[in-house]
Amino acid sequence: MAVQLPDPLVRKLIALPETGMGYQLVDLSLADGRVVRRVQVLNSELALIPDDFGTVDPASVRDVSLSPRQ
Amino acid sequence: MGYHLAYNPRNPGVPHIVCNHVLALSMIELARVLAGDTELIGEIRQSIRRDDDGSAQQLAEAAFLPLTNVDTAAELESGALRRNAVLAHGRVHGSPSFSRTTAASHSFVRYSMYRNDRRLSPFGFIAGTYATTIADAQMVTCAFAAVGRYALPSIAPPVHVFVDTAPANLALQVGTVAPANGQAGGGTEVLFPTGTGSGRLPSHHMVDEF
Repeated sequence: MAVQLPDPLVRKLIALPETGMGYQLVDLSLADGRVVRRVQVLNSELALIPDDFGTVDPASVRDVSLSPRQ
Repeated sequence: MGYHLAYNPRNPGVPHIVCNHVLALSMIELARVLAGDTELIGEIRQSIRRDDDGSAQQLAEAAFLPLTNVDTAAELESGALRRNAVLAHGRVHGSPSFSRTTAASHSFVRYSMYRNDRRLSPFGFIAGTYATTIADAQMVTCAFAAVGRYALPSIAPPVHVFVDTAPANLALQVGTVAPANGQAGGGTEVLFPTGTGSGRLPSHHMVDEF
């Protein structure tokens, strides 16, 4: 599912380097403590969360950080 | 192009990439290179420079030869070694980035799905932005070609094209796009650690989807 990130997190990602042209790989921290790893985020704003992770409420995304390079 | 896979009989369990028939790297060493091991990358670049007088060949011979070349007809026909190497190690291609500086009037191109691309500013591409070179962009005839060449996420074709001209002596990282997102990659990619600092908003035009 595609999740539009809230503005503060968008601004945070804009300040971080890209992973490739037009996208970043990030770890998303959710309000319930779960972390969704290696999520692709387009244009620092649209998070593409794998379907097998289930439904994620956009309001539950608390933080983002760049995923470590593999 | 310019390499083949081979085994060192002294260490037959580990395939090696052999560059220009003289410089052999084990898959373990290759993984260190891809992970950005600056010490090993420095050693390799020294070896390549030494090759100008043939000493790198002597170095390789002392360390690795005799190599058993596995590019036999049977191996080529089956492709098994290459396929297994790719499966075992994730990727064979993929370039460590090289630190370079721009010459005067170097222009760079960025393909985007978004008209409001967030890596743009009135001062050029912002810090941490990827783009490609004007020369490489000549190979991109449409948006879907950019998806493949730069291994982009392909949920929408990047029809928006932004061009910026960087000042001379700007530091950048340049390398070859590694396979990702189900795409082959292979294009030239450039990362601006401090942005382009051109002092102007990058120009915009569009390309056809296909």
